[in-house]
Amino acid sequence: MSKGQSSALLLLIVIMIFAGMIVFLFQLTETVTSSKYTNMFINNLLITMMRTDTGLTEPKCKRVSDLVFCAYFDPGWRCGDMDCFSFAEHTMDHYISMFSEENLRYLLIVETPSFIARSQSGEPVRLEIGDSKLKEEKGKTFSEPLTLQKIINGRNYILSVKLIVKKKK
Amino acid sequence: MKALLKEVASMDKLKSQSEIMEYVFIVFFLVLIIFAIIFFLTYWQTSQFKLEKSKETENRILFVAEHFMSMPFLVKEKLMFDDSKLTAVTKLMECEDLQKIFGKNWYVTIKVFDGEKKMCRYSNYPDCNYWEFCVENKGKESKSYNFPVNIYRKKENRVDMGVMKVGIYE
Repeated sequence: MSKGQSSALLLLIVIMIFAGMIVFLFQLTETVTSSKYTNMFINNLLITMMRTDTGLTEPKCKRVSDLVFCAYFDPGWRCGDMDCFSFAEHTMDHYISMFSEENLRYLLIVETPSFIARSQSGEPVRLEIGDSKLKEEKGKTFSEPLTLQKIINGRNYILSVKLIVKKKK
Repeated sequence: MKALLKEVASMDKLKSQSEIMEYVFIVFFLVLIIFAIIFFLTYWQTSQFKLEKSKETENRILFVAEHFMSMPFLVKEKLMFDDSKLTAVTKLMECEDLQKIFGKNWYVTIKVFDGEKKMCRYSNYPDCNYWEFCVENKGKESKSYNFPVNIYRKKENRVDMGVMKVGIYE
């Protein structure tokens, strides 16, 4: 190979390396949605949703947080035409769909905060409301765990809820 | 002999010409690379400035949002606006008064998720579901974010869900 040809080949390699670097750096300049806003949004969403009235007046069904307690501790109870779990899911679907600009899928995980509650068969009791497939997916956002407290028949019950969201494609 | 010498001379001439052409190509591509680097660095600087400006706007939006959601003359508790207080503030306070607290060039709208938008005034309270603060209708460009909030309906003693939109005019 002549000297000129080998210089041209070297030049071509250098051009390709520079082009690769430039493409990589261009990708870095894309604006990324802020995590501060996303965190604030998801935490606000969880807190406000739990505090919202459902329209029903009986104590087990009055607020969305009451539905969560009902679905966890008394799943057979009926709120209107539906059982607690279905009504909770229906209500949450409705409110999350209101944020149509964000276009979200969600999963609410409900568990006992300081110990693992187990069913009679020994399985951990953990309630999930929404899209269970989100657990395995990447690119999701978690809220801070929120502690819910309720006194039922003179006894104090505590649950920890966590919301996971992801934008729909 | 003369013919042979002539042929060797012309071959040497061709060889030098091709070497010169190769160097010309190399120099041409080197200049091209240098211009590409200059162009890229300029673009990079511009995009960094835009990113900084975008972050600044976003921080401003988050500041206004956080403080609006916890102002005692607007809320019953944090993230829960009181509809009677919201209606009173739209009547009793001008935008300039609010700008003394939150700064300039922002706007906030609050809407309950219960149907068509009805602007709240003293005359139609509580049959309304929308409040706005410092909204300018002059076609100004703005950047905004939505935040989930609660609105406490004082007369019905009920907590509804809604959205607060906070924007900064650019």
